[in-house]
Amino acid sequence: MRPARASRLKLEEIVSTYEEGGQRLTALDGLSLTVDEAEFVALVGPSGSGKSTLLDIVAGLFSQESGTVRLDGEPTTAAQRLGQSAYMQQRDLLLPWRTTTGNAALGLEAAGMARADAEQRAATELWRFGLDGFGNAYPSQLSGGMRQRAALLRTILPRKELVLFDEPFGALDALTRSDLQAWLAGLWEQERSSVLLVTHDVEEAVFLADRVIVLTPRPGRVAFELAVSLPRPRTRAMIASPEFIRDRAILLQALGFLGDSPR
Amino acid sequence: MNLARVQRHAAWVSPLLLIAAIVGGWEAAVRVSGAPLWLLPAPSDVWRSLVEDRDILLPNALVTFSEVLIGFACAVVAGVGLGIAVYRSPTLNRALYPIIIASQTIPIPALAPLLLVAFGYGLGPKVIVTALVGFFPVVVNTFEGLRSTDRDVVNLLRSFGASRAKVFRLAEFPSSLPSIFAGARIAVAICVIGAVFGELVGARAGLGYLMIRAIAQFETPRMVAAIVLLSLMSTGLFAAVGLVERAFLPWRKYTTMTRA
Repeated sequence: MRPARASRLKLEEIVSTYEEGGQRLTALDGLSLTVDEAEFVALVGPSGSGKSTLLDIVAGLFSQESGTVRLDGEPTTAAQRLGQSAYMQQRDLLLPWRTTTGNAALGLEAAGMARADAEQRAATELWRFGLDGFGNAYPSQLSGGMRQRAALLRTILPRKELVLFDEPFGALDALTRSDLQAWLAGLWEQERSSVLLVTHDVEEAVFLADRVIVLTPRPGRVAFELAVSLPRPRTRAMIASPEFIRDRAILLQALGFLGDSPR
Repeated sequence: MNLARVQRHAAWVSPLLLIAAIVGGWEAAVRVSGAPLWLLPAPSDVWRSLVEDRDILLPNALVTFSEVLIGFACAVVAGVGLGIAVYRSPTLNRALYPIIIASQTIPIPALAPLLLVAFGYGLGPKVIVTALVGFFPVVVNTFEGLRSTDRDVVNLLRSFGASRAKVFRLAEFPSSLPSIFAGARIAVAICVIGAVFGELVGARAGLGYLMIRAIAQFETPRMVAAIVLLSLMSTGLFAAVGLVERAFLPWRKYTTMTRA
């Protein structure tokens, strides 16, 4: 049972449409969900279920057509939501002209901190992200896993209470991905921020999240919700546990009903 | 000597060999055909002129050089400034960009006589022609460079709460720098042409002026010597812009490295 916690993010009846080839298409159709304080929620769903649109709306990059987005209980406009969360996408989006430290500092700088101060803050965190000794390296000199960790550091460093992940490990090879998932689970134990993770990967969702929400194909709506039965802190060995296998099976079945075959 | 070393050297060895072959062939052709000096001087005649006429050539080269530098500086400042303005203001974009593009159909060197009438024989009209010629590649490359900024990076910064000015400073302007430098390299080379054109129309000093005088006096070696100095100037300035680019964009040399 979930303890009663304050909701960090509350979406109420979100409707979002977009235009494509002269046609109005509905991306999200009356979607409602909550992410509590210090809760890790994963969103899985067939491609085109509007998951990324949802994150864009929460980040404030995009306005919903109707419905309410509440942060800490207060209704917000898109403009008000800018700067309220940390958003990380599948592409690392590291700036090629900045070093690892400079890239990691970007979130703080964007929010108004002086570059020198921001880089100093970033430099003290490098070791925790396995980037020790790579602070002055340019992104082109880093491996895929290191680039993604640098992007993660950039995301975590401003210490936003709400973190949005859009398939953060989707572009990595399987081995690096599972490494980073385990590492992110450990990092979350230290940070305890509210997280909304969008993923295609059911195992990633079960391994990392407290709760997994399954969306319907477009237009996106909540089809199913599962409280993950794995205890915290999560360890890699858990992916062989009966709870993990059962939760994964439930989710795959729920997705199967939706006529999609995620990996 | 292994193959890798041969290939590394080839970058500068082969053009040098080609130049040597052309100069050698030219020298031989003049000697064999016995062409008169005023029609086709041999490279050795040009070299003699470079040495003997250096007191005439160098001060005039300096005049042209300063016209190019001032004109190029104006082109870069105005080009980058206008490129940014056109990028940041949709209204200015609609109003100005088509005019900037259309202005390229005007043969700028043809404006030189007009400028001569308006501003006289001094430095002014040459600098204006030089700046007008160099302006176009800079403004277009600035605008296109800014426009090529990764939209996802812009959105990332906005999601972190960055203001528009901050997005520009952190992402858009740095993104455009490689393109701006590419434009500047083109600009500096054609600025030399612009300056000479300005001088050909009417001047009291400069290598272009010297060329016209040399031709009139059948001092053909001196004229070719002036051309040699001009191309050296062009090449040198092109390389200098490249050096500034390297100093400004140290990260670029890493992008050619293969990823581990």
